[in-house]
Amino acid sequence: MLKDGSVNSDVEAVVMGTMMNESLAFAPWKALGSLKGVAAEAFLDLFLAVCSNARG
Amino acid sequence: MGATALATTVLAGVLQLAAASLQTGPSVNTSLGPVVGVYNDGGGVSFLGIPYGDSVSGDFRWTAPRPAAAWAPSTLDATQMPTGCPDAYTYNTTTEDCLKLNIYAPNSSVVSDSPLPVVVWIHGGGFFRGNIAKPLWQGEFLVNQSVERGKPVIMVSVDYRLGALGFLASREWNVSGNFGIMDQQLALHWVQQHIADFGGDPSRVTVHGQSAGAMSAYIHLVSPASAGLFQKAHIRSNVGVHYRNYTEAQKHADTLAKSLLCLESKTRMRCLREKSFQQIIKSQLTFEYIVFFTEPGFGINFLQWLPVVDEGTELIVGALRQSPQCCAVTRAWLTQGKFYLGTLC
Repeated sequence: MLKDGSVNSDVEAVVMGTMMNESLAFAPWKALGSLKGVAAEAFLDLFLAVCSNARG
Repeated sequence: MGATALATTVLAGVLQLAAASLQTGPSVNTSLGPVVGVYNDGGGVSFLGIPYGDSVSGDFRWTAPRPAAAWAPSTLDATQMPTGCPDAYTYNTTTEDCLKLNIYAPNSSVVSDSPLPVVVWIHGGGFFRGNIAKPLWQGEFLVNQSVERGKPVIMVSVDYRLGALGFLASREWNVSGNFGIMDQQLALHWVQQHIADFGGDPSRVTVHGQSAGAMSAYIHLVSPASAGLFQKAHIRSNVGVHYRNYTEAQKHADTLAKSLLCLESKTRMRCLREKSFQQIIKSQLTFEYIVFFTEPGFGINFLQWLPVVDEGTELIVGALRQSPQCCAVTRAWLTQGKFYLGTLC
């Protein structure tokens, strides 16, 4: 199953983040009001932009 | 009216109510059969606990997952959260019939002609705990936000086998390991085959993993068995990729078998398969973390149950393999088809 470190050729993009509290961006706003900040907004915008881009 | 007749009448009433409830939810026809879900407060729809694989109990424990059978002509009630695969905290309330996924979608996508990008969420939990019913990992919020921001997506979250049930590995016993990863791959196949029925675009799939889910995403980036199943990866809160070779994994397998008194080599796997999943989880809990960084030859012990690779394979180039205490991966880059990580050691 895992033979080497070559990335599958059909992968178009990889985005990485390392902050543990990024997880909180997926919780309801009402429970985590303090995350209505720039970081959470930027994270969502980046994430959705990557997901939504067309192929190519 | 006798007690039996009364009970029959009451049961019929309950079934009618259930049927009426199902009729009020959003419905989708798939090649496996019709599915009825629920409307969410934020305007989206959810289809919960859709089986993508058959039960992995009994003789099917520690084997590759099998696609779920079609349920047609019955209608699948996808209105209740699945219980998740047995883990360290839920083994009394779960079953091994646990290969389920949730789908969260904007309401309009179900009737839209324009397919939406798909996010496949792989949860974290150190490969030994977690499930998609956790409130933090439910998808209504992401889907609602995606609609508000003009970039609507469909989110699919996946339960997969955990702990010893998902990652026991032994060449000696002909147990390949990586069953939890195979489950994820089967779910990705399911998405390719069926997500269009829910308004999703199978050619725009992003694998999105956090922690152990992030490690899983790394594996899908390089695993030939994951090729063609997604186009993008979003990797969060990762600590590099922890994995073992079969020599290291054998020591953990031996520890489990010993703790369950499955000692005879000829009957060992039968003995292990005859144990209840509760016994297996309870047994792994007795030594989980005890070997944490203490036993030479066990491999990286930051996590107890891990994906396994062939001897001599370095899945990811980086310092993490030699320095397990180093957890901060700071950057990655693709060069001529090779995937490299840098670390903050």
